[in-house]
Amino acid sequence: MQDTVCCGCSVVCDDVAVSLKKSDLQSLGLCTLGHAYCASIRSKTRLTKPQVKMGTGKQQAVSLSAAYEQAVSILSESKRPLLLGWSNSPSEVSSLGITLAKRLKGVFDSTASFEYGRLLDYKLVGGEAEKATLEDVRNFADFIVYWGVNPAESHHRHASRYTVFPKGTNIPEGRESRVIAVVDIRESESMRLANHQLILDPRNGDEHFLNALLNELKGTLGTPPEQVGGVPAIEFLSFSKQIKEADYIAIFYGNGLLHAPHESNTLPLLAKVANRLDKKKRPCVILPMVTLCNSAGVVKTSLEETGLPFLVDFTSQTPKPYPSMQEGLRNNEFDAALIVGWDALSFLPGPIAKSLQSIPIISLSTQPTMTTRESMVVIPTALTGVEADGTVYRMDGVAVPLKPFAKAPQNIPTEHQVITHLLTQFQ
Amino acid sequence: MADQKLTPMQIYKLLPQTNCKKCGMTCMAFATRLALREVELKECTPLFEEDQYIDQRNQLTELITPLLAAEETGVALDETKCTGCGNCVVVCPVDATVEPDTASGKAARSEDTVFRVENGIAKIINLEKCRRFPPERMNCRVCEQGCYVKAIEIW
Repeated sequence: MQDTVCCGCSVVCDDVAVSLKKSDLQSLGLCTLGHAYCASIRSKTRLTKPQVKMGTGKQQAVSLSAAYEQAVSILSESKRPLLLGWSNSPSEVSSLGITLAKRLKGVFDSTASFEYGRLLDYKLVGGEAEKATLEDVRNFADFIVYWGVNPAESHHRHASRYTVFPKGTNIPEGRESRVIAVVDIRESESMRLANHQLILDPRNGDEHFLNALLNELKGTLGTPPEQVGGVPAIEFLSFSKQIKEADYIAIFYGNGLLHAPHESNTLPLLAKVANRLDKKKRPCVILPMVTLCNSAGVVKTSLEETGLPFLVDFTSQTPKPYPSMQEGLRNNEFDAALIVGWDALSFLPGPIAKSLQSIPIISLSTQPTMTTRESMVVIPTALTGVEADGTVYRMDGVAVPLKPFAKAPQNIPTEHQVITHLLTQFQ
Repeated sequence: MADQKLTPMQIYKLLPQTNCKKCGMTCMAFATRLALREVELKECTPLFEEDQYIDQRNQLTELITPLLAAEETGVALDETKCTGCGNCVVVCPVDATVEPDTASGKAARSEDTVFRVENGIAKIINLEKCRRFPPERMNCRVCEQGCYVKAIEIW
């Protein structure tokens, strides 16, 4: 068994071990998701040969150099390419991607633009709480909120490693030293662990509940209505009373909140609630439950290199914010796409996916996906963290150096090698 | 089969609830430890010495008798439901003793724990160490209570 770092999700577990003999992968500590991620290198469906769509419209296996040639040709002819994905790749790769986007005068975007929402626009909390890590949450947070996210399904080890069960410096009894609240529009598995199981009205529950909570914190709520965003008043009051009494609060929000109705109101409201709760002696940390292993890293790299977290437009000399990748695709503003490590066509809404499908796509992937099937050029790549080296940033922004434990099959390059090669063609 | 799903709250409701601490602890703590079989009912002396508690004493005695008589127990883990979250590894008090890092959230890596997540699925690798078995025979159910997907069954 050798130590490794799991890139199966944004928790990026670094306390796990694996042993690989021929096609048999044994692991210790990896969850189902992580084990399946690592074991996928030996999957029978794995992409092994570069493919290019020929005149007939059918993909054919070609040499790596032929695939490169076709990719370079597509990007050379493009006036405005979209460079998309990046959250499953080490930061070294996204950094090269930003340089490539600059040289091609394209738009650079990552999946993080969906996962963070616009919360980055808000100055949430000051001082130390802003730099809080999952270790701080484990050691100090006695009140945990999961809002619009079900870690039991999406981030299997989040609760056992950092938020619910582990003992920490100020958390002597583990689970019994914490209060857990799970907020969702349905009963979820994560609620089994919660003291407060708050089921909101799917229509406008998030907004009403947050508004009431904010007023309660300001002391202007008075008597709450019988139902607060679908939650009985007594449960709302019990929640608000306990959160005010906490010593250290950590709020984790997910897609349920990001894509809630009236989401343009809910995120600023959550930010205001967090700001109101955050006091000098009682930090309130707020973290997005991003899903992919380096969503936080792409944002960090992009901020450092362009001043913008995602959606960076390099059409002019200085990088500018691009309003919306989906709207850009809908309005046919792009004439080619380079998609790195992401199945965009499965994820994007139907009409947007159709617009994307109508332009030439170059995709880098380990497995066949809907996106690779529709791509003009497919370049199989090594799997991040398992075969490919680099650094990823955990959901809380902590850098984790990867510990690959396998060698990619012959002729399968790393994403780093592919983007480096493309850069040499666009000096 | 004995009813071991007895909760501390069920016991607490029948205790004097005076927090006299003659047993050395509060009534709630006594209830919790009684459910775990760490203390005996007779250690609550007011319950046996004061006539006002006679009904509660009888009810409590009846309630805990199956618990004390239970000789058979078992813990089963349905691997088809398990997601390898490791909640059982981290909450298990035995794991915390034999591999202390598990109590602070780390994966079990030794061969000495009760639970260990292997190939993405939790396994019970040392069932005999579980506190439900002799010599402790405690009514511990923390793994069952901490499981997201009801994969652990205790009887």
